[in-house]
Amino acid sequence: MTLKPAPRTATWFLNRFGSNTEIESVLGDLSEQYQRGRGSIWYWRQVLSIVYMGLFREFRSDRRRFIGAFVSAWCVWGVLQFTAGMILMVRYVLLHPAELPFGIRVYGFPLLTLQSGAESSFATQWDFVQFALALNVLTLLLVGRYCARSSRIRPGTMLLAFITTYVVFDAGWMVTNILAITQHQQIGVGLVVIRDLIALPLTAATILFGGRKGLSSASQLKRG
Amino acid sequence: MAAQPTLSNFELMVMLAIIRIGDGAYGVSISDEIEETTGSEVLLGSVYDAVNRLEEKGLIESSLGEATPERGGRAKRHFRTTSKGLRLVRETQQSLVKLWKGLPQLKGGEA
Repeated sequence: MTLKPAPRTATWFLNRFGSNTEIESVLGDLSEQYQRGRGSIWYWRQVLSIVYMGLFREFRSDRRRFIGAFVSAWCVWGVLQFTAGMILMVRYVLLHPAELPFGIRVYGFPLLTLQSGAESSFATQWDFVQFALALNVLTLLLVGRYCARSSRIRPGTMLLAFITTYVVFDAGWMVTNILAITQHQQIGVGLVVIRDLIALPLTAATILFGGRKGLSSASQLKRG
Repeated sequence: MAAQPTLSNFELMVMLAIIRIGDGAYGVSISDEIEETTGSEVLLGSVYDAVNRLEEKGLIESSLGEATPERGGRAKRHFRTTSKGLRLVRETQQSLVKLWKGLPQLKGGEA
């Protein structure tokens, strides 16, 4: 019997983030329905419903622990982002002392300076965007490792919650920037949009990379 | 004395579907049964969420069954109600029937 291959990314996503203890039987149920002619969109919808309902279930089972882990992950992100912002500012001041009168606009926490430079004159410089992007990705990678290694709830759940909120937050930020460009013709903001377009997929990838490392070390600890 | 567990509307549907299907109840058959009865689509995620809760409450129990080729060689997780679960469904039914009785708004299908 030749089986129609199920969407691989969706299956991987379920395997990676599904909190259901009987994940094999869940995959079997999905495969059975898929072989009966259900489409990829149906498969993805089921996978997302299974993963996110599992996430919500874990949240309900221990709200205090979940909220504690989640808030601490975002605090770590904030501290790292703030540090990255400071590095960017110092680097800029050292490289462009003559432009200091322009000043550096700092948006409120937690957006900080990575995004804020776009409206200043220096922000149109591509190397600034590149460096900001690199720091942003590094920040997320470190938070991913923190989520996976230090969280008191299941690492996969923590990563999923963080990724979801980050992507929603970043997507909202990107839409705001696009609106700023169209309404106020601020070309400088375009660089931030470019940064976001690159950072958004990289965000998930870097956190997942950090999480995978963390998961393997967590399982080694468990075996030990 | 431990508090009596309660059933949400969807949990009750899942319990009834398991009772109707009998021994072969598993994720897909439960979802199909509810879809056929209610006429609306049921996400598998909500079925698994409900069966996990019901199992935690001790109202159903599960066991791994046979693997078939169309499932990619993966076993089914079969569900059946426990005596505690059956008792609770019966009590819920009695409570609902009591609530239903004597409601003029629901008579004659005019509502």
